Amino acid sequence: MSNPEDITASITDILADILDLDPVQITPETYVVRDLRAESIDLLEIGVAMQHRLDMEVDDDTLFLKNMRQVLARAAKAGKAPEEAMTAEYPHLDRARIAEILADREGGPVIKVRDLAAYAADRAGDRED
Amino acid sequence: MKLSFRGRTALILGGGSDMGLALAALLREEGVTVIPTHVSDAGREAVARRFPDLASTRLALGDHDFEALQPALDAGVDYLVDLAQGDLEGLAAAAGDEAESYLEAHVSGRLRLLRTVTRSMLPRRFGRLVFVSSTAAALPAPGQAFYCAAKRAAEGLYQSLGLELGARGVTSVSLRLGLVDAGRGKRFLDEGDRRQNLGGKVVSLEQAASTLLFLLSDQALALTCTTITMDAGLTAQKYL
Repeated sequence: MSNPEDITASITDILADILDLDPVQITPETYVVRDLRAESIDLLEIGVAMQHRLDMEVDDDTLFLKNMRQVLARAAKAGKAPEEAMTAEYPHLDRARIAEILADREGGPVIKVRDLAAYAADRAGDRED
Repeated sequence: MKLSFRGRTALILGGGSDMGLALAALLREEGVTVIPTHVSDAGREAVARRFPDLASTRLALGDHDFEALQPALDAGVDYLVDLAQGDLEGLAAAAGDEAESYLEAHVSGRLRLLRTVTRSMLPRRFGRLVFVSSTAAALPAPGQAFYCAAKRAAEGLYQSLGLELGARGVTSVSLRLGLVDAGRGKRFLDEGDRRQNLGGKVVSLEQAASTLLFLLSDQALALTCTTITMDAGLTAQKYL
């Protein structure tokens, strides 16, 4: 499955199932933690469900940007641009989204539904290469 | 009381040990499919001798990938019984590389394995984890630092997994066994040594295996996030 709409629909279904939500509440711009109130255990389940239903290896750290603070701290220490460090660590996110994330950090966990979809599309692309 | 089992498949780490074989026999009587694992050829051969129809999978705690287990995990493992434990005795104050490797395998390696197994249990919303610990976790003898530390750390991992995943149907319990007339315990027990006055405080293999079977049953699922001691009273008294 590499069609972006199919991937987004699958991820919406997964989130709706696990978080017991109506799928209409979920859009690509929805924040997974800020809006949907997903907790750590939910994130674990979401990662596992993506692995099973989308048939792909999932690295939770990358999928949920778990190490973002450390990535940025290491970049700052090394005198490296944060955008560059983020691109290297999270190749599934495009430059525009990375800039948005860097500007949005103060508001809390930045992960959005479309980031999960981008990760899944990237992994599906890898598999087809 | 008739025990019931909602799960159908049990993964037994250290399945070639005396206790693993005894438990496998009991589980098979209950209709549970058993998947044993081994580290050594002796373990693999012990499984083959007792259960010619069972193929054991090689798995060591220090492994970093669990490809060999993946087909079983994909098909669905409901129970994990952890009898895996290497031997390493030595003084903590003299610990070297071997001790570090031992702890890496028995703590970090065990965590890697538990992460893999529990992730496979989540989608089905059921899993039962039983860790076989030891009274040495509470009362180590000199020289048992690594064994004690590994057992205590593992108990903590199992307790936390039950705590974190309980709402998703995954429960856990650790059983601290005392001297068992099998495996490591049997090597310690020296019937010819009259200085060993254990006053009968020995757990039989049959008692240990039956208790593990009970802990896996539906009736015992409320025993979770906890550690139980079964040592025939060995550690209840001040002096032996």
